Amino acid sequence: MRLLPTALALLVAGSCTLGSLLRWESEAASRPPGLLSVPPQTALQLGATGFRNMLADALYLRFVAYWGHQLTHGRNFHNLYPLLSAIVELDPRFLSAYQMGALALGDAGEPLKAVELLEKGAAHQPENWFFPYQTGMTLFFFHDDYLLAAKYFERAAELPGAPPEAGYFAARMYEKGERVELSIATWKAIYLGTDNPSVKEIAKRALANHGIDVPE
Amino acid sequence: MSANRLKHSQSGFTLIEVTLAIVIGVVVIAGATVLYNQAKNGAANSAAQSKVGAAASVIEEFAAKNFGKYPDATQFTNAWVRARPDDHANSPWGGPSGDTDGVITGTALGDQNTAIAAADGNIGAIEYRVATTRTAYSVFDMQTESTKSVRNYGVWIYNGKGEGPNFVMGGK
Repeated sequence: MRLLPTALALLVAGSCTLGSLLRWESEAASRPPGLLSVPPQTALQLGATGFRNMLADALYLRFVAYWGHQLTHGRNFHNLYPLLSAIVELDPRFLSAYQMGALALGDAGEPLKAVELLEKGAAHQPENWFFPYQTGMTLFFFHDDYLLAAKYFERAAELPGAPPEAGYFAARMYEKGERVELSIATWKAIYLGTDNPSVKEIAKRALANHGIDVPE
Repeated sequence: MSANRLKHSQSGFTLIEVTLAIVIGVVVIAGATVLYNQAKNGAANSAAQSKVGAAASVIEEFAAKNFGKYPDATQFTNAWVRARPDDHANSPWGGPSGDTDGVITGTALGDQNTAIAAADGNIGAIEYRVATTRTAYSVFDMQTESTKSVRNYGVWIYNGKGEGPNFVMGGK
């Protein structure tokens, strides 16, 4: 007969715990921002022996969930860079981590950290146009440093497989940075350096817009 | 005698054990659900923010090719479809489209042109609005609860309930 009150007490205790949990979730927005925990480097190195990519994937999922949650819950972005840095050190070829990470850091008001992250990727893959291209975009969108962005776009345009937009952006950044002569020089280089008729046409129109005619 | 022995040797779970197991199970499931929902919502937000960034890149690419001229609604739509052939009509929040997927509409609003991609009552919409008169205007971002000044153009996302805009990125 004593079992029933004990069971009821346990049920009440469980319900209270459940209620607290749900309340904890609903009050998440008003709580002081929690720190995103980042495993220490030594732990990452030891723990990841043979499982580096898997650990990088797990940490990336953690990053995506944390960043997305914070986007709508107070925008308190702590430890984004250390976590992203840990991810790309575990898996230096993890392009999504660089791309999403740069966007997150730029949007969080840390564009130079985003550049630092992308530079890590560029150090591992110096022939990949993606890194200088993304760096240019980051400096353009989040740092308003048009001339530095132009340099990165120029670097991207010189790498194998780069889209023609890299050159277009370099020219546009020079123009936005009020260095019209460099913009014109870039368009001329694009015009002379391609056999692609549509790219040639775009460069020709851009030069014509500056009042410069090019030979057919 | 043997019946008594049999009675005493019967084993089973007591009411307390069963209740305890149920309580622990409920708490574990509730905790897992909370964490799962948090991760799911977080991932959806990340996808939305990423898509707004991608749309802004497409717009800027158009401008880079057209000496700084931003696309009108139709041009944006075409560029967006070309840039994201596989998922331009998908939910901005990362999931698949609903029945009316792929709807892209454009309207002229005085000095602004708009294009709405992936508009759907269930999945939300990604909207591009370009100011034809180059007048800066303000957009209140519901997610970040901040007002953002949009020069030249704005690109943002509405959620499936038509609430928004959210995740605003403006023209530079």
